Amino acid sequence: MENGSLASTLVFFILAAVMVVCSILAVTTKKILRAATYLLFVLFATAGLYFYLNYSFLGAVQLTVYAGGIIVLYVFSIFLTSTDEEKNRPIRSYRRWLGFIAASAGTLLCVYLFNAMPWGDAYHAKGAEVPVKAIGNALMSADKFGYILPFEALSILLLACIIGGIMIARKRR
Amino acid sequence: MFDFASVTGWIDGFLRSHLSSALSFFIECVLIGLTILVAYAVIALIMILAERKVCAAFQCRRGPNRVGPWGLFQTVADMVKILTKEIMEINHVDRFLYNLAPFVVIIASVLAFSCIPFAKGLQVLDFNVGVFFMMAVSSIGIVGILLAGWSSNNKFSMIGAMRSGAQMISYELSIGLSLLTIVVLSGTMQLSEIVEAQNDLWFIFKGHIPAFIAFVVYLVAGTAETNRGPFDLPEAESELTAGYHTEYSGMHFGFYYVAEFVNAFIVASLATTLFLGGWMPLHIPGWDGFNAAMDYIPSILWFFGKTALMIFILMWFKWTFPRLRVDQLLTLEWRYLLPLNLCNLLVMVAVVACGWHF
Amino acid sequence: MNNLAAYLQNGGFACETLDPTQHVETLGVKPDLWPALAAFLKTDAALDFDFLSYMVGLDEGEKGLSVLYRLYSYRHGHTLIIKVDTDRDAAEIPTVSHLWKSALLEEREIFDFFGIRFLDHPDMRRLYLRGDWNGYPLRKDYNADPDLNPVPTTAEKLSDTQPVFHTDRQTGATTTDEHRLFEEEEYVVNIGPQHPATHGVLHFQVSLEGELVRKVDVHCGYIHRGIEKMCESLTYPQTLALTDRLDYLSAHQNRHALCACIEEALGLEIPLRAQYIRAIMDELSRIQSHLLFYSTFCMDMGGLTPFFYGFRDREKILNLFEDTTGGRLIQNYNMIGGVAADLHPDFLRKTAEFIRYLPTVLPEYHNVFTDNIIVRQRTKNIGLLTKEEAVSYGITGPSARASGLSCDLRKLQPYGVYDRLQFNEVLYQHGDCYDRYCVRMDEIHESLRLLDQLLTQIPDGDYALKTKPLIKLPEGRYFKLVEAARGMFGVFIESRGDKYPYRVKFRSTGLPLVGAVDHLASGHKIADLIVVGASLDYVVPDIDR
Repeated sequence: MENGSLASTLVFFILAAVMVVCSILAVTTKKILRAATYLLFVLFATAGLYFYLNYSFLGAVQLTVYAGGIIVLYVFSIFLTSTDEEKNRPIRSYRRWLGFIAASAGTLLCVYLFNAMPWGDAYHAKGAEVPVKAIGNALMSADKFGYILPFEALSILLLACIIGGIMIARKRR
Repeated sequence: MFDFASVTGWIDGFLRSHLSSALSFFIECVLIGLTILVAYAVIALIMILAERKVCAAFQCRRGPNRVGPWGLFQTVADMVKILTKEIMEINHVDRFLYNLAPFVVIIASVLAFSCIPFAKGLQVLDFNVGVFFMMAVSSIGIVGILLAGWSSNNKFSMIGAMRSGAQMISYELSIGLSLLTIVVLSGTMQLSEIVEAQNDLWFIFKGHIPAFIAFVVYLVAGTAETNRGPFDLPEAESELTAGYHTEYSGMHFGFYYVAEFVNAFIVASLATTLFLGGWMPLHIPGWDGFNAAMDYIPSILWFFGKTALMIFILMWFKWTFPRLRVDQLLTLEWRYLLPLNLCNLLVMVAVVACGWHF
Repeated sequence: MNNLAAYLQNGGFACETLDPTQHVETLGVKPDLWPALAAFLKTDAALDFDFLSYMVGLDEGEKGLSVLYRLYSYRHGHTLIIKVDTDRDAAEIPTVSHLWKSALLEEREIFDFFGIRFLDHPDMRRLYLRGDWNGYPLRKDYNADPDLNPVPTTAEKLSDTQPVFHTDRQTGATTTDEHRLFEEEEYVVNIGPQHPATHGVLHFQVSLEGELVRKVDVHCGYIHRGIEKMCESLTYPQTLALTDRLDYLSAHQNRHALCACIEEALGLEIPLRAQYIRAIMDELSRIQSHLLFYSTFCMDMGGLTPFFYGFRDREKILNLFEDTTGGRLIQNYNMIGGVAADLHPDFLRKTAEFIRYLPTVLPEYHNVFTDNIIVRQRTKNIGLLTKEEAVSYGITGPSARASGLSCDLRKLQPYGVYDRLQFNEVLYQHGDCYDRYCVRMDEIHESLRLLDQLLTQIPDGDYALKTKPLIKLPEGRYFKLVEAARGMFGVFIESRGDKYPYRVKFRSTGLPLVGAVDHLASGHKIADLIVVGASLDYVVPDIDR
């Protein structure tokens, strides 16, 4: 952005701070709906980061899919399932171990990425917005960098999910 | 035609000639934020007054007529009253979520509001994914409503929130698809380009049958999305007293109230922008004299005139129809609107591919 | 049927004929014989007493407590009163709630007021008073000392159990069972007592499964004023003031019933003009009540505009009332022996104008509301009430006529001047919310027709008889029934020859309606519960009395 690197760096660090703090809060809070809300903030901040980097399409996708979709789904499932008993149930030891392994793997991955990343001014926005047309063409093209195969594979996966959902809903009746 | 970009450009140049670039950027951000918030509040006040006047006209009444000429300052007085009201503390609630929820709702509403092209050159956010962005930010509002319902520790709120969630998720599909129909016709998602593309003819005429179907579906789904009658189930006062905002008082309630009215405005202005040409005057290809005459009417008047018409239609719905039941609401969406919309989208694709539009 | 007592003796039921002077046959029976006799009365083809029109609890001092059951047969059109006596200390009578569903709430009311326990009744909670109330207020030895029942400063914890009393077969002792009202995991929502759709301080505890209503439990008594108890310490003219405050939308009809009951007891023949005036006022009341029904029905369904239409036109009737009676909601117009004042000079002209005006706006009502597809879909096949259920629950008036039950007292037992008038009884067959709505809308037309005839026929003459300032009714029991706006309104007076009534009972038109809400709304959605409630059109002060 042409408005000086100071303001732009400041925005980046604010977003990053929100993400870090809310991520920590999301896993430390005892109330499940609060955890979902902190996660929502993390996703907001991520979307903010995308907008900041001028990836407005990705930012909008982030908002629609994660903030508007996934979190609403989470909240709905919390509404429909949560009871007082579950809050007080102690966590079993093998789950602790699984959590520990997953956390370690995540840390290792992060350390690797930190090292591999050419830092420089990575957190400064570059270039103009990517036109939607380019994204659309890339998604639907079968050329070298085309995404038609993953796109169609995902469509089939989602179709299977829809059919599965209908089956489950019909079985309940 | 007057271009508001000259005004904003002059302010920008004025600031930059006196201050450093970063500082003037900061000041501009603050100015824009203030303008958006003030416009938001003023439009909410006007909407509330209009609602009360329109509803009174439908009900053989006069509506507010004591405060100021024709009751014009009634809502201003109401605003002062609600600002001074105490915000109640409710026992046994999750304070954090309870206090957060109205802000989530209002932020979503303000973000969507700032995408609207009010007049030529008068638009704050103009992403190249404009339509998609509006859909995205308006979907955040659901989270606020769900949080409000959950954190109020009230069964009516909870039922209202669940209804609202189901309703908004369902009808978002219809809104999205009907907007997509117009995106197919215009070939862009950027709101400013969509308006420019209607220079020769508004899309509702250009896309004739599929555009008109999309317009009707959009109005129905938009009414549902804003929880207005006859789709006001989440706050059905005869069933759930006030639904998800039962436990809110003072300005916290005010946020829901204002957001609801401005959301109706946003729905109406999006209908205007996508189907009725936004701020673009009525241009008919070939009638150059007529088009030139139309251009003398300022673009901001065109925009607000058309939006007012849309809002009137939304109010007409509300004050005529009784409320639907929740299963009928979902049947309407999933069994009628959604298939209709999908077919309509295909028709529009065919129309655009074959060049059958005007 | 003539000589019911002999018929029952042949059937093997020992009962004695009481009060041969009364025009309705009254039989006395022992509590232990009562269940078998009740079943016989209900099922025997020649008797077929399908309708328990009301129950009256009585405190007869030394002789103990007793309950009167007033039975009616829709098929044969005959009436019978059964009197069951019981002991004061161990007051127990077997329930008849399995035969006549209307007894479910009526027996709870009598338990509440007299402490008579109905054995095997599934839900013997108090109906109107708080669960922790001391004493039974309508007993003559009731201690009204305020220290016994201080004004409560804390919210009442609603009992979530239903006591049931049984008699042990071997020992004869009474045992108590308790049923849970709602299970622990049920999602119970309180609709009322402060809720926009209950039309007053009525309280439904609703158990929900998602949006579906599983069970509705009605709590009454939030506006219980003890009107029946108050009447016992008022002179007859003074009691009149209270009837307007029962069903305030049928104020004229209620007071008409009480006045007519007292006049019949005194043997007064009131002037014809007064009878016409009463009929005119009754029909105007009916129209304004139905207009209010229309308004609230629309509002409960979320249609706020029609609400104002109804209120706009109801206002015109209230203006007519105000001209003549001085009152708008509570008119205090009927008096013993006639009416309080002659009609206002402009009344006939203005009413004639109104009769011409209303049919011109009713199509507007239907355009904006009735013909709307949302209305049709939300009301048709919702809250189905069959004719048999309507009879069993004791439902009368428009709500029963929607189920095809011909129960209009103006036709069945014409009183006043109704036998001189031409009108149709509005009957629908389906018994859903839509039919209950349509019955009332059509009844507006019939009432207008009646008014038209009344206005042309009304004779000159006195508007009231001169009555003595001190009225004493001869000893005896007196019943009077009239067709109020929402059904059969009944007055029962027991006189011991004093200037005060010994016992007064008002048959509520609304109590049977709320008794049926659980049956009508269970299995439907919350929104349907509201529509069912609106279509039944109960008035809460009338239920609570």
